[in-house]
Amino acid sequence: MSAILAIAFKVFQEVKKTKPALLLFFFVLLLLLLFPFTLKSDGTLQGQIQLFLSYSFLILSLALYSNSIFFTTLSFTSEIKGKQFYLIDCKSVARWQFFIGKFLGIALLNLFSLFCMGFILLMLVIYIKETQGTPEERQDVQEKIFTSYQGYLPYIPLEKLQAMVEKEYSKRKAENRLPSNIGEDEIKSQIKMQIQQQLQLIPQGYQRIWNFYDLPDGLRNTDQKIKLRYKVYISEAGSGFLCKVSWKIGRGANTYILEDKVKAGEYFEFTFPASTIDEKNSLEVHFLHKEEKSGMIYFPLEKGIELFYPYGSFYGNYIRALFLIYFLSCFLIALSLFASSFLTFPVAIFFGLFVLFLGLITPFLLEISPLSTHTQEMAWEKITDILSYSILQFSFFVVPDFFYYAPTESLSLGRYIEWKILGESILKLLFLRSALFTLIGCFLFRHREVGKPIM
Amino acid sequence: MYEVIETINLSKNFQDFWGRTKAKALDRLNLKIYRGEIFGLLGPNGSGKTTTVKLLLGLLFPTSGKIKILGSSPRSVICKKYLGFLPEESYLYPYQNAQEALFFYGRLFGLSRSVCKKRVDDLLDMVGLGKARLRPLKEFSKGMARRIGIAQALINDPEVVFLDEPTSGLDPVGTREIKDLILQLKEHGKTVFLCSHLLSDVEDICDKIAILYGGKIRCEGTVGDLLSKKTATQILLEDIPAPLLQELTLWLQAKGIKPHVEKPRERLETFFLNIIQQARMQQAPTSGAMQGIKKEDFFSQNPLPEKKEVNPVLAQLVQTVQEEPEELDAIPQEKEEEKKETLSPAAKGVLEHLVTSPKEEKTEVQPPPVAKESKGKKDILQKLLGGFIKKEQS
Repeated sequence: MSAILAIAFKVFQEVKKTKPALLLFFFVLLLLLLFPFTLKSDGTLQGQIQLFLSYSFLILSLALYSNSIFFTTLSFTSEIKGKQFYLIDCKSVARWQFFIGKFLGIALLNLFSLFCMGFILLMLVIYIKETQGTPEERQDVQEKIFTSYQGYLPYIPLEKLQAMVEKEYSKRKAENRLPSNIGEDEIKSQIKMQIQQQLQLIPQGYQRIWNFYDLPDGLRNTDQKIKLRYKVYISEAGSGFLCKVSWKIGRGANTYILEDKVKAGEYFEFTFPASTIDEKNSLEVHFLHKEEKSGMIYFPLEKGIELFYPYGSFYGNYIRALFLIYFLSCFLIALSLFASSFLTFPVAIFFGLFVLFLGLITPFLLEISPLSTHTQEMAWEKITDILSYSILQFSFFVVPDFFYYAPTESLSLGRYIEWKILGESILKLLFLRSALFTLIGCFLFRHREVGKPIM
Repeated sequence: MYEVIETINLSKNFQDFWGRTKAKALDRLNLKIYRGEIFGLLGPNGSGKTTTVKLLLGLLFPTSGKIKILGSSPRSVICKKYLGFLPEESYLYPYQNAQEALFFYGRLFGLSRSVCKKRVDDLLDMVGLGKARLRPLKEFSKGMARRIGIAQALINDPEVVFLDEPTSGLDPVGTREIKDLILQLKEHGKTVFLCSHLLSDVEDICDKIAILYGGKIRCEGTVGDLLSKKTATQILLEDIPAPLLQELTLWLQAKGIKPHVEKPRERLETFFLNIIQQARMQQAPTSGAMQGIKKEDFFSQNPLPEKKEVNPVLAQLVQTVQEEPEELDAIPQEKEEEKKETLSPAAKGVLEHLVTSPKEEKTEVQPPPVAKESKGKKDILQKLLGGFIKKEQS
């Protein structure tokens, strides 16, 4: 253990006394300090803080990710190239101990730098909140950003939906309208999506009701405010069109009614009292389409309407956000060590950056990949399909979706970052992916001839 | 006596990406090095010395054959606990200072903080860097870096020490100190594996040597055996007067022995070059450096400017060397017969006492001269090596 700790501690010495790492640290710090004074938002305090949080977290996470790849690769490969590793390898240190020592050192270094930066950022956010804007704006920020909200999606009656899908499928089959080159599962999933989209369409003069079930016990008896977040699109009108909306929340005496005008294509939020929740901890939300100048109103399937209720503090959320970034950086450290265990510096760093890039565009890749459109039956038709399918499947298994774990949006919108996500990141990023890369890396490094042939 | 290092038919081929053999670095190397020996491995550039050391330390893997260090594989972590290694160049971290570097290596061996701290202090004093302990290693001269390298090789009180060019970059005083240190290590039962190009160093301190060329051992044995001339008997005389010498010579000639009177001196360098020359004559394959151009050729191609003044000391030295054989052989032939029977009893007595064969000489051979160390340094060394002695006794 003392050998692992000695190697880990040496990483700190290395950083402390090497100028590039310190310069990078101060550059990121300067960038973060300058942000609040250079960014232009919509003029509101809420907008300014949201923009500041989004950009600074983006810079912070990208700096940490790229630095994890760069510094890990440099630190590992330079020891082999500079032959300092010869002296370590001749001591009673197993190679896996060297590997783990490096991982531990860089992971601790990341933890230290991330939390230093995170603390500075937090102080800046508090400073902006306390010194700028009107008292009302500050109150607004307190409610919308400095309180973290748990999100709820409306209930979807899956059995009913499935029955509708089966019926539609049978009907199309009877009418011989099924495409021949797509499998049954894929057709049914397309039909399901079409039906769900149809259900989100509201013609003029009609109303749509959503139900939110199983809300937390006792919430209705608190004086907390519940938030509804939504976005609408309007047919026969472009984005930016001002549309009249009419909401009725709850049933009976505890009903909250809102009439408002919103811009199409943008997110809007409004709050209402928790007393609108009924005795069964459910909430009924009615939307009435009263706009005469427009055609149908459409709520997008993805995050078209969401309910939020206060669940925790901003500070807890903030720490969880930092840990999410940290676990992603740990994954990148393990990946870079793995690459450095058998590759030279330029190749290993290219590999690390490529995986980072792949992780950042994963949502886009998933959208365009055969995994989302093809069924397995289709893919087996050609050898190339089999290959591409297998490579993609493997890539998505190995490379995590960075946006899935990215906390920036949740933090700036005041959404509660669930412990579940944090647990998932520990399990999938640390215990599964990082451990896998570390194991393979240790194995490869153990069998690597570090001595160079000099003849 | 047991084998501390043993190689059995050790071969190493360097291969390219496709597994094709590019060069044969070592060819069926068989070595046996016993405990307490100082073993010197000699060879020209590219002969396979460094490859051998890397193989013995597990930095390279053998293509075929076996290596046993202290009875186990060189890649065994337990075995490495008893090894110390000074590489050809001091591969140290430039951002550490001397104290941090030694502390780091000590911690790698699992030494406790207090033990480690004490050892670091003692070793820094021993290598004469006590005052430079907080200076960054990047500011160290080559000699200072070598000293730190030696200190790190001894941090764990090793049983076997591999030293690759230990005296390169050191000044004459430092060189002497290191040589003394190596001899002290031997006194304490340590085994030293030494690679060096400085033949005089090897000759001074090594018990056994091997000469490597083209990846093969060309010659192996004790220094005494290898450097002694087996077909001759050497008579070592103190500086006797010329008439007495002449008298002795005539007496021997009268007995039918043709004496060859000179100050006998076989240098390892000559011997080493002879071995390499022989190997080259045989056109033995090697991927190392081939024979360069002769000095005469070099100077004829790159003529030096005419010197107006010659260093008088150097000139005198050169003259003495040229004249010496003439002086020693300057016994007139015509007087030989006369002097045959004229050996005085004193000369006979001198002969009886001083005639020794090389074999006898070997048994009475004195250990190489150990420079007188300061008491302080000896104490430190005793302290450092004390742990090992205790272990042995127990």
